[in-house]
Amino acid sequence: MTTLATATRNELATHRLALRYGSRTVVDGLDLTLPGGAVTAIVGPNACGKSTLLRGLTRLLDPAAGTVTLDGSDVHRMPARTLARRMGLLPQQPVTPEAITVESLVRLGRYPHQRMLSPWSAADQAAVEEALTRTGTAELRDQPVDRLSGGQRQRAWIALTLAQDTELLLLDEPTTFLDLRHQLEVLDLVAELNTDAGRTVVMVLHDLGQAARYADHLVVLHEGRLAAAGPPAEVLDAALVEAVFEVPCQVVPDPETGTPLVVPRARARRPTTH
Amino acid sequence: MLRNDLPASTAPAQRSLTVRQSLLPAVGLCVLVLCIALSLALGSRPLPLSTVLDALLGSGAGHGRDADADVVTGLRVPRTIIGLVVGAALGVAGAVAQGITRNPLASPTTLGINAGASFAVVTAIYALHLTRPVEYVWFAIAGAAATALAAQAMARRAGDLDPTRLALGGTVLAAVLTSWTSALMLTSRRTLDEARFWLAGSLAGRGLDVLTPVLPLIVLGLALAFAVAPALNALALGDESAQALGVPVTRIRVLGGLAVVLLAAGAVAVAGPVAFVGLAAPHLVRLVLGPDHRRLLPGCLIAGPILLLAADVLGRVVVRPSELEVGIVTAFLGAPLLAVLARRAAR
Amino acid sequence: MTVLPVARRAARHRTLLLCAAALAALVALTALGLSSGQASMPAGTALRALVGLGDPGDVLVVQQFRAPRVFAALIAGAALAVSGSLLQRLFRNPLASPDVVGVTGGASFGAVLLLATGASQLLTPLAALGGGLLAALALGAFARRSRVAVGSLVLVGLAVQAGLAAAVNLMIVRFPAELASSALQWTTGSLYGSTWPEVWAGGGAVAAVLTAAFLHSRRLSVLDLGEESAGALGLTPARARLHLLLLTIALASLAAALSGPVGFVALAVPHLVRFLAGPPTPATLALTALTGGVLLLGADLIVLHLLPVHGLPVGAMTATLGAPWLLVLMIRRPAADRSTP
Repeated sequence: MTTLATATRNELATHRLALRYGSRTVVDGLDLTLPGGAVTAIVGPNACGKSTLLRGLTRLLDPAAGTVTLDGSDVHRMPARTLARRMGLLPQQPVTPEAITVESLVRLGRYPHQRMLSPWSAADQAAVEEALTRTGTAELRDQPVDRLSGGQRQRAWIALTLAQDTELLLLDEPTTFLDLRHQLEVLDLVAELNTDAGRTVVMVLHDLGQAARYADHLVVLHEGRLAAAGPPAEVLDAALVEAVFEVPCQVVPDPETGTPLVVPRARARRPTTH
Repeated sequence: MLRNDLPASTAPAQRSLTVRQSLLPAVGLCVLVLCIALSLALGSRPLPLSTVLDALLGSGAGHGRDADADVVTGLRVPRTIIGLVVGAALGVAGAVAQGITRNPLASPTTLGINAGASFAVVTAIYALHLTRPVEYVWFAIAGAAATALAAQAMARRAGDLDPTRLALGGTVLAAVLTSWTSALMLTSRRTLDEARFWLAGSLAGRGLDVLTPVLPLIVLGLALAFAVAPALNALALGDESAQALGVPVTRIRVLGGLAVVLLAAGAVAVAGPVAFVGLAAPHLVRLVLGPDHRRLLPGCLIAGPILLLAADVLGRVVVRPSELEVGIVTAFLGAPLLAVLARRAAR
Repeated sequence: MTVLPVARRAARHRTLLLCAAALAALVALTALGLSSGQASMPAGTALRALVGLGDPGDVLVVQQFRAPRVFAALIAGAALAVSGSLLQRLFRNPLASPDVVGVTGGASFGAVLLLATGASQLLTPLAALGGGLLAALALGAFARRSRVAVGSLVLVGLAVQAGLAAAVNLMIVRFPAELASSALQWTTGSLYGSTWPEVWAGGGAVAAVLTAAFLHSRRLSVLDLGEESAGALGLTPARARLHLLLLTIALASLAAALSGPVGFVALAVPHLVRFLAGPPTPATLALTALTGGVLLLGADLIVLHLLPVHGLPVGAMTATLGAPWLLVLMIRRPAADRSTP
């Protein structure tokens, strides 16, 4: 039914998308294209609809209006399993089952590839091994996840989404609750997945500097609408940050990478985000 | 940061909540007074309110104390007072039980208290051939206290009181004791016949003398409950956050547990195991006043008696001239109420 | 075949060992149940009598009286334990049992109502089955229509349960003492008068539902990851949860039809298994079923042969028999340490 006329480019797009919780509209009339093969970062102030958008993209939330398409076919009409083989999601606060070990957790990522009676296959095990190795959690495989440190736990969860073996990865604030080193570790891993394995990544981030460093494409949301989209170097300027985040600042080139770096004005009220 | 995450639309909701909070105690008290009036006026023999007032004020003395006045002062006044006390105790006990276990299903029942009291009373009926509620009181108190303390002892470990274990331990003990109670009743027809009425939970046929031994327990329990109320708010955030806020988690849980035991033991000793008031009252109050225990407990102090008295009055009216035991009515009434609450909570 | 890592292998080993132990206990108890009684006989004789060999008197006693009761206990115990285990995971509440989906109340109400009408006692299992299913389905319909969240569904279920329990209580209070006694006997859960048709029908249905539950165990593990992750892994959480809920309702209702609403098995066995074998896997589900059967049969044998009083229902013993184990395990192990063997 959903045989693709076009080649799989892993391009997610929304058309006049509206998302609501009950009567509260969170995302309204959003037209967006997230380029395939690239790392896209979605940024914006708290409660601007970033996480809601991610839920809408993965069909966890049905649109009140408009559509979400993956390479032209409607995501919300695809069989759930078909979609799960193409698109994985790391929620912001995943629920870790009590006492589950890292490997048992990662194995659950193979769910969309298994049929009801199919035994655990060599391909399944290979995907799990690769996911464990890539995230550096192979030696933690027998540890219960709920006893790991924050960084280790996050890597175990990323391993689960990797074992799902999808070309498209959606990550909801993958660096929250992590210290700087572990934040960079996770982001480096994401970059590696994109360059080595050619995966398309869409992630919600809070840190504008990190978003500019690691993303090819930046989407800035403001009050449920698109404020700007494009390569970070073109999009991120002082006027935009001031308009969206209400923080006076200057934008300077990152001394390491040359990407835009947002430096809030001194003595200005600082945003209480991390 | 949390504040920033709240969508702007909560502001009006917040306001309407405060309006509610200032109005509702008054409304609640009015309803309670209404329930008291009905409880005095209605029964297998309905009396006009004027007769009730006359009887209460003793102004009917002109034509001598008649049968109506005897009904009011001799039967309905004690019954209403007992209903007030038991309802208040059950409501507050439920709120504290839910607070210390952080489990919305907790109630005096889950902590094993009703089962303990029931078992002790049924054993007394079985072995000692007791027949009057006033004789059951001390057995009920002892059974309730012993069970609840045992449940707490099992949940303690290295000085820590684990709420899941507390609820589980209480439920397990309750299951054991309930099965023993059934076994006793099935071995002795006489016990079954006596005990089944007490086990249904009732306010009828008791004089104020039943209340005398339990009143100190209930007063102490209420005092303890109100003392730990602010700490229960911290406990709701999780043990670690509570500890960080300087709340002695284990001590609060032990004291709270003690309050639940005192209140619930007192209530069950007087009225038998009345289910549901302890479970439903806190949910009802939480829905209108929010989760703050400093408001929740006073709210339950009013809501518990309202529920119990209303149920008792209803039980006297629906099958006149006979009557339904209040425990049966509370369960019947509470069921749809809880369903509605769940539905509203889903919105 | 891939090589399993050490800890996984150890956990699986342990579970298999426990399964074997439970199976051995089950076989031993079955032999005991078939051979002991007023005309007690050696286990070998009893087993041969079961298949129709040996003394005709023995055959009659074993086939007509002892065997149906033994098998009814095994089947009902397994069904109860698995339904409790599924419910506790679905609702993420360690206190969940068939009470919270209205099955216990519905089954009791159906059966006691039938007693009240004075209809043949042979119809009680059907009345219980019908009552349990009806109550649970009404609850499900309510939840679906009003879009109640899982957490709140427990409240609705308790409400239904309380209402039905009150109705049963009312009948017990109003009944003449004789009838009140049999109502109480039935609602405590009893295996008296189990018949072969019940065992075959109930056993077949329970086996079918248990198979379905095993086939769903992967879905259940994915559901454990929470709404979002489960959805992203290609599961429709609401639908999956509904399917599993229907399975638990069917199991609990069937058990109630066979043995009445026996308490404690559904509540306690999942905890026992979790304490002993660690986090849930398909293998622990099997262990849960076996342990449930052992507990119920063991309790019934004690009620029949060891108690000085005759005629007590099995429900009066399950809690007494199971509680000490559970409590000892609970006290011995800290909550966080249940995982690693």
